[in-house]
Amino acid sequence: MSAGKMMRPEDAAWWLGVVRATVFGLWLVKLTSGWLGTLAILPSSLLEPPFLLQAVPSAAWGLLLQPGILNGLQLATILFAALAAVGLRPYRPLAIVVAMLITFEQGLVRSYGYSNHPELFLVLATWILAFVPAADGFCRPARNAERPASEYLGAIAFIALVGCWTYAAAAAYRVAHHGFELFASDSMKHLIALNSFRFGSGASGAFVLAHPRFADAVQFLVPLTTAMELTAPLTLRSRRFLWVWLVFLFGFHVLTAISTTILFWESMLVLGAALVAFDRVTRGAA
Amino acid sequence: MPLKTALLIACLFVAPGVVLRVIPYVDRIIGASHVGAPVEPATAPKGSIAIANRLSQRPIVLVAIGFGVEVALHVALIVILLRSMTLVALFRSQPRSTRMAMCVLFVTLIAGFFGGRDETYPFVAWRMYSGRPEGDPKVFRVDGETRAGAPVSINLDELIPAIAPRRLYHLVEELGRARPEADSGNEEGGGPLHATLVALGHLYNSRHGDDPLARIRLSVTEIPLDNEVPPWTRGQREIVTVAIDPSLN
Repeated sequence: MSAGKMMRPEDAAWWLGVVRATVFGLWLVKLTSGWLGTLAILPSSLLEPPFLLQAVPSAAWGLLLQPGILNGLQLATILFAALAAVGLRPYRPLAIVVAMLITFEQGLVRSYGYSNHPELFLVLATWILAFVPAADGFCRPARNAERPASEYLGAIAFIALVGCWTYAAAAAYRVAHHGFELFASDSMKHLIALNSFRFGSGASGAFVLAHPRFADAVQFLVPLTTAMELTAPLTLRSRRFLWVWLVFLFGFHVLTAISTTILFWESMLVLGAALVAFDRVTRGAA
Repeated sequence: MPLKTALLIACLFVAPGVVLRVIPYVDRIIGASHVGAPVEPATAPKGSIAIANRLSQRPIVLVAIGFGVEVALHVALIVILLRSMTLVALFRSQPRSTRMAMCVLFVTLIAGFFGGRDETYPFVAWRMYSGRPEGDPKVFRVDGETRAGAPVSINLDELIPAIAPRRLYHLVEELGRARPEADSGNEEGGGPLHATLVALGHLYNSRHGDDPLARIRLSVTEIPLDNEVPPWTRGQREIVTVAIDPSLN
């Protein structure tokens, strides 16, 4: 990327707007998949809120965990997320409200005994977008980009950096503490069999069990995949590697979905959008 | 940016996370607790050296070396990015408040990667597909029986989509694992597993009024990994069966 040619602010703002629309649009998809109020049927004894939600007074939980209240919060989130996705003004207050509601709701579903990762990058990206000028482009009504191009690009780069680092962190932990098992174990056979029979039809699990040599071959993909995950942040240093890594990102998630029924589509789409935006804006300055 | 400066900044970024991660191990480090015993040779992974699958079973030295490698990888990545003139210039072009917020968020993120837990949401550790769990896979199933006696397989993600994907399954699985094997069978009294299954049964019945459940069951089955011919799942065991009171629908 050359520092000599100036990026056009309109282009940079437009691509940041695309990332904004992607993030809030994904929340709309997730929020409309089912009523949050059904959580109220689960025993309250199971509720173990994370530290962030422990700011809610104990007495308030009885009021909050009513189907009507939870559904009302969900409807409000949907409304504000739709407005933020479009980039309506006043954008920042809207986005902050969405970020707060989303953080609460995602914390709530994780308060019932199991906390996993699919939406975490989305939550972090939402907060970043709430505090950067993400509604100066790709928005309605259209408006002029008022900031320098570098400010929009910096926001895009930071969202991409956070997303990439989630992959790098998982890989770094795997290499550091389970490095030997990457090669000398049947961890992939275990994972494929487990998830295939747990959440799918069992077809891929039956296949790896019936074909142990295939399972051994698949195991060799683990160190290769880990190496690619670890180098994710380097996509911000090399445009060529960025596109290689994007191909890996989509291929990895599709193959993982087929074999283990696990698909982090949220991370895939948001990080993909951020990296494509980063490339397109910096290409304009090349 | 000079290498030494980049290294210093990288170390500052990871320092809070390192402290967070080391704190629980302080007792072991100063020798106040026993050092974790290595895994028994008879249970060592086939074809590998005898390194315990669980970090808690490993000698503290190995755990420390592993953590050192992990920190070094993060530091190396940060240094590589800081050595990019373009990225540093991009960062410097941000408003001061934005730069500070980015640094705080990044440091907190790294701290979460090193020392985060479920309670520190959304700054948690990302440790996916790490290692090989002990033993053969176990699959838990929730199914029911209608009043007409027909078996019904219950999709937990469809039952409460708001908690999807799979969180409800993992919740039920954890409750099932926590239940002593000696207590298998019908359950008269309370307990979180009983209460959860009853709640799920009533929720199911609220949507299937024409063919409601009379009983809901949690069972577990194993998948022997050295098995190369069907049946692939073996040793199905019922954990608990709970009656659903029809008068509450």
